[in-house]
Amino acid sequence: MRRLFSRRVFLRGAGGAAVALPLLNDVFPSSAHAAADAGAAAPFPKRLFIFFTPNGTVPGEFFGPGNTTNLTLGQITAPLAPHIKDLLMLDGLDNKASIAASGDPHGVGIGCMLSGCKLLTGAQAQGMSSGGWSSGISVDQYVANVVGKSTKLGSLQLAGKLLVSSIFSRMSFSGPGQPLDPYADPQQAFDNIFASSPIDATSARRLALKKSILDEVSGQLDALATTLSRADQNKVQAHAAYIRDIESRLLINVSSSCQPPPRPTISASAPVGYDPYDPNNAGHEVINAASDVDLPKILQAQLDLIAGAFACDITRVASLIAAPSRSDVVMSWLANPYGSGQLSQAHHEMSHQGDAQGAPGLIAVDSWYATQLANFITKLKSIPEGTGTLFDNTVVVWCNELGIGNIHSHTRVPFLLAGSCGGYFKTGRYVQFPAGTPHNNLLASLALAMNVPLTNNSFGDPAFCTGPLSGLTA
Amino acid sequence: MAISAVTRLGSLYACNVATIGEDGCAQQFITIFGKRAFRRPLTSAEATRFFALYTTGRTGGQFTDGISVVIEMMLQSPYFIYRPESGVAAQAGATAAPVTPYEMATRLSYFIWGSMPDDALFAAADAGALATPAQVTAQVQRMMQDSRAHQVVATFHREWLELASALDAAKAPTMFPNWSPQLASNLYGESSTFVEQVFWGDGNLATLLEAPYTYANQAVAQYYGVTGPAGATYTKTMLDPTQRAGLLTQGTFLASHANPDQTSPVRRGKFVREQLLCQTIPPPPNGIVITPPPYDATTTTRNRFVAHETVALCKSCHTQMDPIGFAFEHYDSVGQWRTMDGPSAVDTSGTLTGTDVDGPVDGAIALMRKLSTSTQVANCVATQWFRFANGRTETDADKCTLVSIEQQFTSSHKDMRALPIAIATSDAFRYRTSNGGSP
Repeated sequence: MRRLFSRRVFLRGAGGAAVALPLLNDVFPSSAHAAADAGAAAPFPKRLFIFFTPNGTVPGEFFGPGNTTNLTLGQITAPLAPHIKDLLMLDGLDNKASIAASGDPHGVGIGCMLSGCKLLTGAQAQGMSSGGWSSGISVDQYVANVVGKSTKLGSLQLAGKLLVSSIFSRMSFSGPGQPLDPYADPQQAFDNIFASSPIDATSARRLALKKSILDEVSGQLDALATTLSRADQNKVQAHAAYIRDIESRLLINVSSSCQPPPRPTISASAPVGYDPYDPNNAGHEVINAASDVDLPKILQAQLDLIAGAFACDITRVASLIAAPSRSDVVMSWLANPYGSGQLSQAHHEMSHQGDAQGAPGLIAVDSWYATQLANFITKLKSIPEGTGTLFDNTVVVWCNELGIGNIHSHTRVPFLLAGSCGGYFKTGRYVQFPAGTPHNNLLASLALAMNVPLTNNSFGDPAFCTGPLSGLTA
Repeated sequence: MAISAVTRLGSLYACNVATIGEDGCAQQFITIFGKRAFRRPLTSAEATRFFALYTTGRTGGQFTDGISVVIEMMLQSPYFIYRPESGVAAQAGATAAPVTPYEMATRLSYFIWGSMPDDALFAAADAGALATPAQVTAQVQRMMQDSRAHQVVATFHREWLELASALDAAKAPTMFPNWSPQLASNLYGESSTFVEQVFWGDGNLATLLEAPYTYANQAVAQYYGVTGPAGATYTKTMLDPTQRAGLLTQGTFLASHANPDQTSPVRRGKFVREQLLCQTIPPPPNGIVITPPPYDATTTTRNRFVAHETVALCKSCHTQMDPIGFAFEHYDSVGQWRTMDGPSAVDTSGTLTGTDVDGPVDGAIALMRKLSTSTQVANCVATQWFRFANGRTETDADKCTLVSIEQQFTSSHKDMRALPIAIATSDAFRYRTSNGGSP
């Protein structure tokens, strides 16, 4: 085993006994802070992770049948049973911004998911009435602007599928009309997260050159901005600010106690016969089962990278779009719930076969996603931090652009939290909210959980926020 | 990208280091590659700064390290990523000024090719030979010969006619077991080939809207139930002229503008209103259920959608869509010809209102014949090209420009190939104003 394990970390990994043992190979030595603080009572950074899966749900099987107060899991959420004490099931939240926004219901669902704001006008994906980008900052970026100031990456956006840039596949916005592109390729993501950590002589020279390049580019952006109309000026200035942000983080060194995970061996390849940059794909996937077979490995790699980035404190905010909104992933590795053989139908397609006919397929797909999430939680629990684990200081949010896919509803959208975020949330519960509670309230709660103050006790479009959710905190 | 450019440096740029030295080669590279990347000659201040950047990269490394830094910078430069335009200074009292020759070369190349200018366009810009309508016409005619123009024309039609939406049209498998992604892909290929052949063939709008033939392969011929070619290649194939006429009677349009289990007079009518007549239908009011009525085999489409005629809230907009869409009722959810609609014979009587060809229509073929004589439809095609070329919707300030483009289209007997030339030579394309509209 090449990686360096301190004895303490090794024991902690083995201490998990039978459960943790098979994972030992993947255990990160410890979080950077755990090593630096060596068990001191210093507070550990809190982490926020957003896990997005598409096409709505089968509510009874997500929220659990017959719930009122006690948390029971449905077929979809059953794979999370080992973590049931850490879950907080949120039933009855409406994506009000999406209901008010115009455009394709999938696109507005994901576009308003983290921003809680309506979309700008525009046609991101031609032909489709998909609306423009979000009109406000997303909560992950709002949080990252505060908690990510001193980390090498302010935030980390990853995806399971490569897609043309459109509102169907973008969830994070650094400001109005400023979508952040996720890395869909685990190797590319790895290189951007870990490549220069820790900084040695070779990477120092490379970083110095990068800095010279960015100096020149930001100079050009400033000069160009002075010649433009107001609207264009805003665009170019936002671009310049982004470049300066990258520049300022270039030389942040990561704790030398951090051992990055191995570089992923899986690389996202462009789906066969589908040019992701062809605007005629209307911004969403074309059904292509052959290109989907790598998805399990890609998601596994992306989740490992996020765990690694958290453990090394390279970032404290991450999101993963497992598949874009309106996804037509064909999960051919699953058994066909409609008959014999393997599942051959695409996700979005199944969501429109009627609630009853579509349900077996949707349950199969969503419970598979739940399994990936459960494994990720197990992984976070295997990374020691102080007297506990990294998971203790994390909150995971599982979200979806729709409530029920068949009718494109934005009401009773499935939200599930996992992890207390450093004791902020009181987990192991099912909470039912009054009908019509806006999901912006959840976004507000997430900011507070991460110790980021709100303005006017509200997040997103204030028309769709009545303050943080009540009854969630410990 | 920069790394792969450096490993292919020889193909980007040949320079003899032995003769003119590394610094000389670097300076040459900056001038030549910089002009291509920025689509204009570099200023001398830029060239000086970029050479300094090269030197930074070269120090402690190799020649290619220095070049690599320059390429990396240029590919991140806003002058490469964006298309900034300054125009030439407007004359006193003028509200508009021509774009610079290099900006004009860039406008033309991105409009006709969707890519950067070639050597001939750069040469024309160097010589100031993109100034008059005749010079621009000559360039557009030259550029239209190139395969890149075919790609852009295909892109325009896919966007305007929403062809790609057929590729992921979901259909109820129990009702339409023959529908598959493969069939959708074949139908998409059919319509794409049809559009390509019509545009570059006779170019006539009427052919696009009324042709009694299509370009079928074996799967497509089977779909239409006609004798056609064997194999995968799309070949001109006659269709039953009592059943099919032009693009809107092809499977691509019909299947993508339908619900999974039933037709959609709404979506078919809306397409005609918005894409062919350039009229806008407002979105449904907030808070109402917009789920289509469930399919019911015991009754007809018209009966299922009757709320659109009887409920006042629905009626105001749906009278603009459904009566056009009903003309397509001979085609089911996947675009196949049918004679029965549930228990009754298909009723294709429809109505056109708010157009220059108003009146009753019976069936899609009659509808297409009417639309193909409509001046409003012809003007809409011109408008669609205008939007595509300028990357924006038209404003009131564009009225004069549009009228001129429409006139040129009409006097070409609606040859669609006249439109790119009319647009490229228009004032809106050759000049810029402070507000971004037509001068």
